Amino acid sequence: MKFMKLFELSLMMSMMVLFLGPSLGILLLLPIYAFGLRRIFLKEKEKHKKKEILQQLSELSTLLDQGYSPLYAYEMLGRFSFPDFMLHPEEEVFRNEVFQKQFQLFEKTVLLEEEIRSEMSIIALRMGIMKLMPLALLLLLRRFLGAEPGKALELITVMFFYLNHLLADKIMEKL
Amino acid sequence: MELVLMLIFWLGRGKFLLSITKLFSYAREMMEDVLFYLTYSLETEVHELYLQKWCYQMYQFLLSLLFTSFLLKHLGLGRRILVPLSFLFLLLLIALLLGKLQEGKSRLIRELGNFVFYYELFLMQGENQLQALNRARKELGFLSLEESVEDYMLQFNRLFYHSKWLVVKRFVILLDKGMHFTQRDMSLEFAQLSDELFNRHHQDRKLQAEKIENLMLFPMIGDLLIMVLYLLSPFIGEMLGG
Repeated sequence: MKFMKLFELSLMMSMMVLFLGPSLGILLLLPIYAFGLRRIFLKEKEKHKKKEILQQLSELSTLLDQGYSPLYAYEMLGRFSFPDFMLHPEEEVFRNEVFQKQFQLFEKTVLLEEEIRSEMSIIALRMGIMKLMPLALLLLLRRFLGAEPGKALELITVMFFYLNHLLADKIMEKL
Repeated sequence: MELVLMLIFWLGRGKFLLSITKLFSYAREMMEDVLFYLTYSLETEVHELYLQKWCYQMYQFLLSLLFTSFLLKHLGLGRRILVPLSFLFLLLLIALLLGKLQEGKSRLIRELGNFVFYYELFLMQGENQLQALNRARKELGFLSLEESVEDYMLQFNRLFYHSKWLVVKRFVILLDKGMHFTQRDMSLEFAQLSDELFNRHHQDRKLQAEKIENLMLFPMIGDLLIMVLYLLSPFIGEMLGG
């Protein structure tokens, strides 16, 4: 998802640069690009947390199956941030059977969430194409235009495209 | 005329609001589910307060409409503009309420799924039903802290009354079973329940995605308009110049 968003933003920016041609307006696009990158990286950080926890729990489960003691296995994995809704390996009441059951339930939930997320990412891809299509079409049609509309108008057009892109991003955030 | 009406409305606002609230209290049974999703609370008092707040806001809107009409009349301007404007306002209001209603439904589906997941996890850890319910309670925004499982069952029964959702009833039955058969393995029942919740969540997300996809048409139309204006700009310039 992060890669897709990055690709989309970069493609949008390169099309805008192509549209503006060699002019000072390109300098304006640099902070916009940096702002877009910041938004993508800050938002995507949270989503990977559950996946990481699942990965670490799966390693812990394997070590426990191999016969390691819970505490030793937990220390071998570098004492990662254990989810507070599960029995902690440092607790005296920790039992492998209980851990396995909890782990399976957590795994099932994360996998189901992932299933929904993958479906949503297909929809997001479709929306991404919808977002980029008009600018790509404009780049194509401009070749057939006889007269030059002027640099100021080009800059205004790019700004409006970017505003619409931001609006579309806001709508897509709800996905 | 408007001034007299405004004065009457302003002086009789207490009685007016009281009669509207009474009117709504008669029809409350029909509106219970809607009010639950709008307020996301099981408390009747919260529903009543919410209704009163809306009535008061509508009342203020009516007063401001009368005042604007009075001003327009004395400034010598047409008052016809008020009709489409108030119609637009009402449409926006309905859209806002429908959006909030849908949001409440989605929230309930999401939170109930999380609640059942955490409740089952805490039961697995060996906690008793009440402890597990108390800890998982934080996942459901409207659930208050109770002293016994029976009280929680009452709350869930009220939720069933508001949401008319069979999954809630099944959860109540599960709680009841858990009280009487403490040693019984109920993982199958929990699996069925969470499957149903997941399916509902899935459907809800799909519906939301469809709506968002439709909303995406607005920026796309904006983009296309900009494109057409850009392409036509040399011709427009020539027409204006010539």
